[in-house]
Amino acid sequence: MKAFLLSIAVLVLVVAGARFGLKPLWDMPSDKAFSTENVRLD
Amino acid sequence: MKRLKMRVASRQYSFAAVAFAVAAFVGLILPLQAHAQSSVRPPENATTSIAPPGPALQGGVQAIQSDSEIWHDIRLGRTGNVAMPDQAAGLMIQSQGEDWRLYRQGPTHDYFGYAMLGTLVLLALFFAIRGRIKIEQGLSGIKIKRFSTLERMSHWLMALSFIILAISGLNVTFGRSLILPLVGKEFFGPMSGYLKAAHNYTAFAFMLGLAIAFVLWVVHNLPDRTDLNWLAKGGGLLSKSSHPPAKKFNAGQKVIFWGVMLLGLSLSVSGWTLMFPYQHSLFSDTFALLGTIGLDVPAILGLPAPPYTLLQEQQFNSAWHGIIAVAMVCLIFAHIYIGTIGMQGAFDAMGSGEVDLNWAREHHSLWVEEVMADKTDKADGAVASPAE
Repeated sequence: MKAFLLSIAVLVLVVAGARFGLKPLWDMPSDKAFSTENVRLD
Repeated sequence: MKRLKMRVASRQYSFAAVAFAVAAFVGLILPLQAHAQSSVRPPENATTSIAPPGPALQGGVQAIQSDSEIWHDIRLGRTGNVAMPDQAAGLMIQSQGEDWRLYRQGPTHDYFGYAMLGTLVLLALFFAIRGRIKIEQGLSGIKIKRFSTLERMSHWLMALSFIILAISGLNVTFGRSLILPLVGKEFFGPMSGYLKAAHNYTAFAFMLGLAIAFVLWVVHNLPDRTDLNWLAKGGGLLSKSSHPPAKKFNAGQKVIFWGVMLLGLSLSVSGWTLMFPYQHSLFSDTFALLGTIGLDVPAILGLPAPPYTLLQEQQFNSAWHGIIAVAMVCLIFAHIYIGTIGMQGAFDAMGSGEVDLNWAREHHSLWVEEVMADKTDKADGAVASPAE
C-alpha cells in the first residue's frame, strides 16, 4: 500500500512538473508566432 | 544642248530627293515604329515577378497558368513560396496525408481492435481450460520478501501511467466511433482535449518508471540456461505438478520485462517526436541504416522510398506509435491476467511485497535457495560476530 501511494505521489509530481515545465516549449509566445521580421515581400 | 543639261540636272535632283526620302523613312519613321513596339513588348532579357517558370513563350507574350494547371500542381504536392518563417506552409496538399488518413480509418481501427479483443478471448479460453493456477502445497503461512518498496513503487508508477496512457491513447483511435455516440459532441470534445493533455504529461511519469525499473531489474532479467528448461516445460502453466526451476524472474517474466522495456522505449521515442514535431527524421535514418545491411524495409512494406519529408516522418511516427502501443496493451493484458486471477498468490509480490514460501518454492525455487543461503550466511555472521 505504501509503494502504491508513493507511486501516485510521484506520478502527480511528474505530471505537474511536465505541465508547468514544458508549457513554454509547447506554447509559442504571440510576439514570436506572429513576428514579421522574417516576412519577405517580393 | 542646254535642254539636255537641264534634263540631267532634273534627274539628279529627283534621285537626290528619292534618296532623301528613303533615308528619312529609314532614319526617322522605322525607329519610331521600333520605339512604338518596345512600349508594348518587354525586351528579351526582361524579368518580371509574374512570369511563369519554363521556356519563353512564342511571340514573347506573357501568360499565366490556367486554374486547372495550378490546381493540378498543388494536388501533386508542389510546394510554393510563402512570406512567413515556416516554409512548410507552402505545401497546400500532401497526397501521402490521404494515405495516412485512410490507414487510420481502416487497418488501424480494425486490426487494433481485433488484436486486443483476440488477446482477451485467448486469455478467457486459457482460464476456462486451465483455471486458476493454485499453490499445490497450499499456503505455508510463512512470508518471504520478494520486492522492495522502491521496486514496487516503480512497478505501480509504470502501471498507473500506462493505464492513463492507454485509455487516453485509445480514445484517439476509437473514441470517435465508440465513445462519441454514447456521450455526444459537447462532452466528447472537451473530454478528448483533457485526455490528450493527460497523455502528453503522463508520458514522462511512464518514462521515469521505465528507467527506474530497468536499473533495478536488468541484472535479474539477463537470459540464462534455466530459461531454456523453463520454456521447454511451458513454465508449468500448461500442466499441473510441473514446476520448472527459476531464479528471481522466470523466462515468461523476462519476456514481459524485455517486451515492456523495448516497446516502452520505442513508445517513448516516437511519442517524444510527436510531442516535438518536425525536428527528427527517425524513419529516414533507420531505413537508411537497415539498407546498409541489405534490408530494404520500405520496399518490403510497400512504402515510398526515403528520404521522407518531415511531415511524412510525423505520419510514420503516428502509425508506429499506435502499432507499438497496441502490442504493449496486448502484452500487459497477459501480464495483468497472470498477476491477478490467473495465479494464486502472485499479486502479493507487488501488493505487500511478500509472498508465501510455498508459492516461491513452486515458481522461483532457485531464487528461494539464494535468499535462504543469504539468510543463513547473515545469521552465521551475526552469531560469529560476538565471539570475535
